[in-house]
Amino acid sequence: MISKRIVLHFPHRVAGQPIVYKLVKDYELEFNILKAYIIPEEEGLLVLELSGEDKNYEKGIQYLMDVGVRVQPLSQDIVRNDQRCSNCSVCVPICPTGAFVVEPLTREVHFHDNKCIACGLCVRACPLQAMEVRF
Amino acid sequence: MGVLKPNLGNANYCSAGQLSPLFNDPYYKTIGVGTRIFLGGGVGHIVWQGTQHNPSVSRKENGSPCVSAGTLAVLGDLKQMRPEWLLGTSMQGYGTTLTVGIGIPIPILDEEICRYTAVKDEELWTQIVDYSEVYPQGKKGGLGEVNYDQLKSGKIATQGKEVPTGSLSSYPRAVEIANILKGWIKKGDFLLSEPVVNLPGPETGYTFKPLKERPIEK
Repeated sequence: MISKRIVLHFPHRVAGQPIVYKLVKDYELEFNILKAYIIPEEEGLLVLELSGEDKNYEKGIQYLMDVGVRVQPLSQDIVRNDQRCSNCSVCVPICPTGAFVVEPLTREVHFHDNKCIACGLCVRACPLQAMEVRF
Repeated sequence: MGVLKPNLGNANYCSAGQLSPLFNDPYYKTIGVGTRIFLGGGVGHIVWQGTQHNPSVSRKENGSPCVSAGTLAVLGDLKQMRPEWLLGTSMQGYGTTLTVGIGIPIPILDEEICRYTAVKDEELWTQIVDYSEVYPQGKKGGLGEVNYDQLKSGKIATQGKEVPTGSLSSYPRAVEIANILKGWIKKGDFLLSEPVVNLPGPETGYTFKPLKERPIEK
């Protein structure tokens, strides 16, 4: 079993196709919609938690890419605006995975986005709104 | 202040500690009405004590207060200020406020002031306060005392628990302000000023009275 949170970008030309339906029917994948929006005549965006058998998951992702959907892992989607960040460190105890680490000497705060699970807690907790969600 | 997790999940603190101006001049010997300061990237002045100025609190042997004590009212020219040092801020669950960069020069006039300015984080103490109940309801009682060295280590111990800490003040920015101010003074652009009037210190008995909410009497 595999379960991942992914961001799907649908170009305008595939917006009319029942793509998620195929993921369920042909690849037996389970999905949970976390966020979705469509800009008419332009593109669609869907944030999904997708789970299923490892092989089916791989095939499903391949199918998405073949029809022209851009697939991105969700972890890349919380970014820090370094100009906005003051290195205060109030985010450090808030993060459940310890993605923020304080440099002991300079007291600068490092953000390790490979540890980030995109839960969004820091986005709301940051007083300067330096943490941004990008899709 | 700031986001708090349930059951002592985290603790937030503020102030740069050993670099904070009021911790370096705890009896307001050089900081007073008229003092020229770095304010929001420009030059400003101290105009009065702040509304929550409370100098008559208990203090350690080195003069540093054990709870929040001195506060300042400052005035500056918005046109001199810069966006790095004056930031719109949103505290979730509390409201909007400003994050302002402030730097105060402290002239070392004698040995006593030199001793005050040499203060270290481990000599600066503060109280752990429960912001869910004790503070908003004006109740008495703290969860213990910690120093800034412990706060900055990333975790403190209270009620038999290890609690992770986060700072609301930026120490790297405090260092940056100190260096900018030092540069201005060295160049001769920024002159030190003697206070016109001293701020009320502990000897004056000046205290801050909390506003107690009372039910409306019919």
